[in-house]
Amino acid sequence: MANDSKKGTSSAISVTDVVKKYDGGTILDKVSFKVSQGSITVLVGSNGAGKSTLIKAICGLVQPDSGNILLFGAKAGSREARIVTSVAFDEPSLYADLTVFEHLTFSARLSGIEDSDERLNELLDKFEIGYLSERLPRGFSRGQRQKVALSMALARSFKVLLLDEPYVGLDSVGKSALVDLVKEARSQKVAVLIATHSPELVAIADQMITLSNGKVTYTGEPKLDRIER
Amino acid sequence: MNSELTVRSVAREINSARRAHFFDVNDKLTVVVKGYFIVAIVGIIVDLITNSSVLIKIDKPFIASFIRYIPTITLLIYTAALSVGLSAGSKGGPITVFRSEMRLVFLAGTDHPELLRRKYLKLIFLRSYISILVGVVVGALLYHLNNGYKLLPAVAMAIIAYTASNIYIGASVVGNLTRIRTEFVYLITIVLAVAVYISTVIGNVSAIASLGGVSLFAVSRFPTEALIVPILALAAVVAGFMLVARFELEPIERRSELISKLRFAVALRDIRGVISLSRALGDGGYTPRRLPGLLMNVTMRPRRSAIYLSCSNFYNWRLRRYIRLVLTVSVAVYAIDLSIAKATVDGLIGIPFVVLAGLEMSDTVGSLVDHPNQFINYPVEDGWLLSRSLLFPMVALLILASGINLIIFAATHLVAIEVSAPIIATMAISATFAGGFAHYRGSKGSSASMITMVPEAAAFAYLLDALPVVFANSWIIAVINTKSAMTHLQVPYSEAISTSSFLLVVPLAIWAYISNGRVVRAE
Repeated sequence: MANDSKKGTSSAISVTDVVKKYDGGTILDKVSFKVSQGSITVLVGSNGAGKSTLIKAICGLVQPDSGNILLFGAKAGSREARIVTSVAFDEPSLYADLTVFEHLTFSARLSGIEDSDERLNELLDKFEIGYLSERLPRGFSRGQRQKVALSMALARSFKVLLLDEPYVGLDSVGKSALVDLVKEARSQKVAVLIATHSPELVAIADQMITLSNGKVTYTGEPKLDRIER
Repeated sequence: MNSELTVRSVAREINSARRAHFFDVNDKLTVVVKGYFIVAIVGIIVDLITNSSVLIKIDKPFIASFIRYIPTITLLIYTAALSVGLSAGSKGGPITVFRSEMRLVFLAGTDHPELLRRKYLKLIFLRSYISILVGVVVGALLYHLNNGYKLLPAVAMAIIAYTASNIYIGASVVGNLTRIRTEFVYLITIVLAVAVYISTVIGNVSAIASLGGVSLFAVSRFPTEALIVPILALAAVVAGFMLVARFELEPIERRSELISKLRFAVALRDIRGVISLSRALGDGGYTPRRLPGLLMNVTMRPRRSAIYLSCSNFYNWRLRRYIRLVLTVSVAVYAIDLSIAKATVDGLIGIPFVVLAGLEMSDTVGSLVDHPNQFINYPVEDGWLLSRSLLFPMVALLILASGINLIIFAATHLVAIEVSAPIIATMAISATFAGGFAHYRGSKGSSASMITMVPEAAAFAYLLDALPVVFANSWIIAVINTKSAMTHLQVPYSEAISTSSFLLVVPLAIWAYISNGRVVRAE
């Protein structure tokens, strides 16, 4: 699944003193933490704490005003960093004019995987959306769209997996499949970072980071009682 | 493995696959509706052009005054392009990358500076083709209207349009990289516009006016300095190509999403959606995450009356919205005054502004209808929700429009005040009603809320909803046409015609009342 790192570093994701301001308000305030290879880290915090912005900054969608984000030694947003990263956002966004299977195929091919049918069918089966594979996403429910978006993220080749609120809209089948796939990624030495409020995901994590008003207030062992603090 | 070559070939395949599904996504009904509207709009344009030589009297004094002001007009076009470009850039423009493409392609292991440059080049070529085409058509039309007098050959207009397009793109790049604040954009625009105005007062031989003199090419007074602006604009576009790789992706994505929704709202003729999304675009898409002023007030002091809420919303407006409203109403009033005094075509220009003014003033209705349990302290079944919530906006627009009409009268003496006042007052009242009704139908009274995606077939429902707005403003055309006909027949103009236009408000109010009750009962 994962490529070898060009620059061997102990941390897969390294976030140092990251600051991001929007329209006068500070969304991320000197955020620092590390995520190591083969681990699951959950990012928790109340709404507006800065979780999504942080995920966007790590995947290169948002540029921090100051501070550094490195993924296997490569600067976030650089081509080297994006090659090793796969991300699924809280709001699934699909082409209206591509079928589900085309979405997955192109996602895999853009990360260099040419012969992916077996893996893609496996993902579709796990999320129980195989019957949708030849359909356009028009009229899909929120949960169905979320399953497609997660499948797209997992169809890629990656060493860093970023998931922003992946449980939103998922049914029990989807949640269970996601947990299995995330664990599978960990076993393949992938660094997984999940922004979530879900106790199920916190329960399988190796590390927990809490954000409050853009600041890191806790880093350490996952504790269910720290969710939403 | 993940070479740029592979990425390009996959990106091409994505486009190819999307094209293959074109007819699956766009049903025949939609194509027919869209085709119908394109034909209708083209028909109106052709009609205006073919009748323009009758509506605009072209004689030697007109041509002389036109030549005198051409450099000024050209510079104002450039100023507008600069202003719009800076503003679009500060919100994430000029490049558009929709979320699905951003997530699938840009966030893959692609060379995104290269992708941005390609998008930028595509934008430049597209805008160049369109601007040159528009310039040539306008130039050729003006040439034709002047019976062969070489006033504005197509080439001069093409240069102006192309330059304006380049200024827009160059300014967008600057706006994007500097994140220039809207207030500064306004300031720059005002300073430039004042400079152009002063230059006009001094005379078009002044240095500033000469910069816009490229359009004088045809009358052999082609000043060399007129080329400075086109050359600078071209240089800005080239510089933009070097800088576009530095663009942050998230603002591009956010702006693109709003544009996508805006296009959808335009396609559905959802005027309320268009206005709201335009506002969101103006704010860079950040403000929707905040609570609107109306909600905040109500949270603190719940169960206020509709009249109170419509007032409270009014004084919670941002400064720029007051400015926009004053400008909109001013243009509407001036255009109507002009249409009474001179030509019917001015009234046609004023009508969209009347609609906009009505929508601006009455947008509380949508919020009230969306959250009736939170806001209304009396039963909505009585059918007076619309009337009550529009009372204050109506009075406010009436005062504003009448005041502006007085100012225009004092400055121009264009139309006797006893003639224009009833027409302007009617305009204010009917515009507010029509706007409120459109907002109402855009909320729960309709099949979908503002930005909810609905099946294409629902477009017909929206078209029906737009009818009251059309009817509410059709009286303007009716009055103006009657006046024109009477003038033609040498019958003295009568204030009674304008006063009687009040009557046209009555059917609208009845319609709103009946429909309001029916919709509420249906819920």
